[in-house]
Amino acid sequence: MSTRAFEVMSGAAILAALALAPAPVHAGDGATEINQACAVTTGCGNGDAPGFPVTVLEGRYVLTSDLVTADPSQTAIQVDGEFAWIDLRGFTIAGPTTCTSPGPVCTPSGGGAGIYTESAGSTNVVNGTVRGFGTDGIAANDNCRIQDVLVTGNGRHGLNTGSGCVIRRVRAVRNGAAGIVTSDNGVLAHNLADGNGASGLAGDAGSVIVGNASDGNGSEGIVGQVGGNVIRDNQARGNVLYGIVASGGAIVEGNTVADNGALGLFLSPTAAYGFNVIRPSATVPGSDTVSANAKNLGNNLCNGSTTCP
Amino acid sequence: MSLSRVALACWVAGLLSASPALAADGVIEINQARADAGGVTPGDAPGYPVTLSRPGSYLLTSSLLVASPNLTAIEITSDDVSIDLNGFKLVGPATCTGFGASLACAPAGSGAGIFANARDGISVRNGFVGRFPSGGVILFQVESCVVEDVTLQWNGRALQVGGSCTLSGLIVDRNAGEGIFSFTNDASAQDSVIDDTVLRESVLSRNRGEGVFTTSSAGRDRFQIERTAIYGNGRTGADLRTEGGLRDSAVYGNAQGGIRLGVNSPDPDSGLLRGNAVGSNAYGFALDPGHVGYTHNNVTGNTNASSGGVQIGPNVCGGDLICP
Repeated sequence: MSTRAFEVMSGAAILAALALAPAPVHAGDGATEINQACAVTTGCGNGDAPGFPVTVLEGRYVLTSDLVTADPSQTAIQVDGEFAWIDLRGFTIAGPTTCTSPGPVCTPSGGGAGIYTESAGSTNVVNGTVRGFGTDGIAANDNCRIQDVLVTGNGRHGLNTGSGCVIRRVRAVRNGAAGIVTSDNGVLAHNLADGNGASGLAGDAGSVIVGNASDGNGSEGIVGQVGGNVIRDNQARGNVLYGIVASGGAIVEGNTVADNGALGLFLSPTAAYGFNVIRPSATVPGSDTVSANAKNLGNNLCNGSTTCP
Repeated sequence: MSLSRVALACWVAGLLSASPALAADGVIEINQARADAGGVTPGDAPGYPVTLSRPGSYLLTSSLLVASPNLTAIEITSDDVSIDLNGFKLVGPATCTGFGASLACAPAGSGAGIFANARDGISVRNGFVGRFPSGGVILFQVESCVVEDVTLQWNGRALQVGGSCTLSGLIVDRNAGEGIFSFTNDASAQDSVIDDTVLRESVLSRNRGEGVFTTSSAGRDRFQIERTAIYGNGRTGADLRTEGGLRDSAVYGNAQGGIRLGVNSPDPDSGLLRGNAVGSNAYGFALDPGHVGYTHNNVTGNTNASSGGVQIGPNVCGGDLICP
């Protein structure tokens, strides 16, 4: 090999070594890392003490490994700062609880949550999985943003939030109580709630619930409580009780509601509905289509008839 | 070592010691240290504002804290600038108490979180902009923009746009002015023939001014709101003095009214309200009597009656299928 060839190869080898070297276990974009090692042994920065829960203040945090705790009463991450942004980066925060259908029945029970907001608002959680905690998968205060997260197998709610939150593309599957429950004036869009122990999706006054699927849950599929909700373009199928429940002043349109155990649409007399397709369960006695006194805006199909109810 | 080998080694060393402002994928980093040092782009002086004078992709790698009420955090002086806040915060010095009509913030000042004037192609994503006395994100006569997954709290005016923009996943809460203010100036050299902005899947809450206020120099531009919660604002929930509409949105508990569309506008505006729940406001809606249609809304539980508009399909008003 000529000297020059050796030199070129050496340079190429250096570049190749740079390219192939194992990626350092850090975020690299200024974020504070959270991983199992720092959670257990050193603390994960910003004053966090060793051991669970990892305490999060404001700013950006990224997971660089799964977080696993064996105690159902132990919270994994506690948020104490205003506007924390937690990027799970595809990793899982896992507790020891498992939930089995039907029911589901979740054991062991305990008081821990996957991510718990103590008092601060505007928490953001994105891109990962939270499973197996004794209470809620994620419990967040007002003005939260939860997107692209799977919450599953938690002993109580999958996701439990305060008011004014944006919740999009969350999958809440087989949690012990509700899949997603939020206070007033939130936006719940493009979520899936499947096989949870209580209602699939629930929002208080002024909530916008659009484009979701809520199937096979232990009570209602979708609940718009208190009043003034928009419930549009959702699917509610095979839930134990009502398909969709809406209080006064709600607008319920464009939904597909089928095979639920009670009324498809259980509506306040001042709730309005239109453009829905509603089919009662063929196997559940007493299941029916729509409350008698709600305001029919037309274009509904109830059990194969355009006369609705 | 031969000269060529030295040169290669220097080149590799240069790669390894490249400016910390440039991430490996060509993205330019912004952080507190670089803000203090200056030179993020040509002409950027030490301290605030961080001036972005070149097109490109910019990434925050720390939060930026601005202590002066009269300083802006980031000023954009180029077209085609994309800022990823990367989960970090731009924070000014204002503190606020109360909410809605009773919200009060201090100190006053001219500082904004992000400011651009008469540019094109600006995007801001993924973070928090708060406590700036003048405004959070001010895109004055910016011809096209994207703002998504941003939380704007405790600013003066939260977000100003002035062209064709896509706004999504925003949380706009407790600002001292409007939540979103849109002013399109058709006489501007930057302006296109017709501007068309869409706001989707956002929360506009407890601001002292309107949740959304739009106006135009010629009244021909359009602002569309979809699948959004607008509540608890100190004035009207949505006051659109341009073409536009609301669809599939909840407008709840706004102090001076729910929706105004085409009222007090420079010229007649057409628009459509469809599929909204409008409740617990001072009134439900006030619409241009000849050019705004409404259908499939539920307008129930408001203090005063709605007015104007043309009913083009069934609605519920005050719990009844008879609407004005």
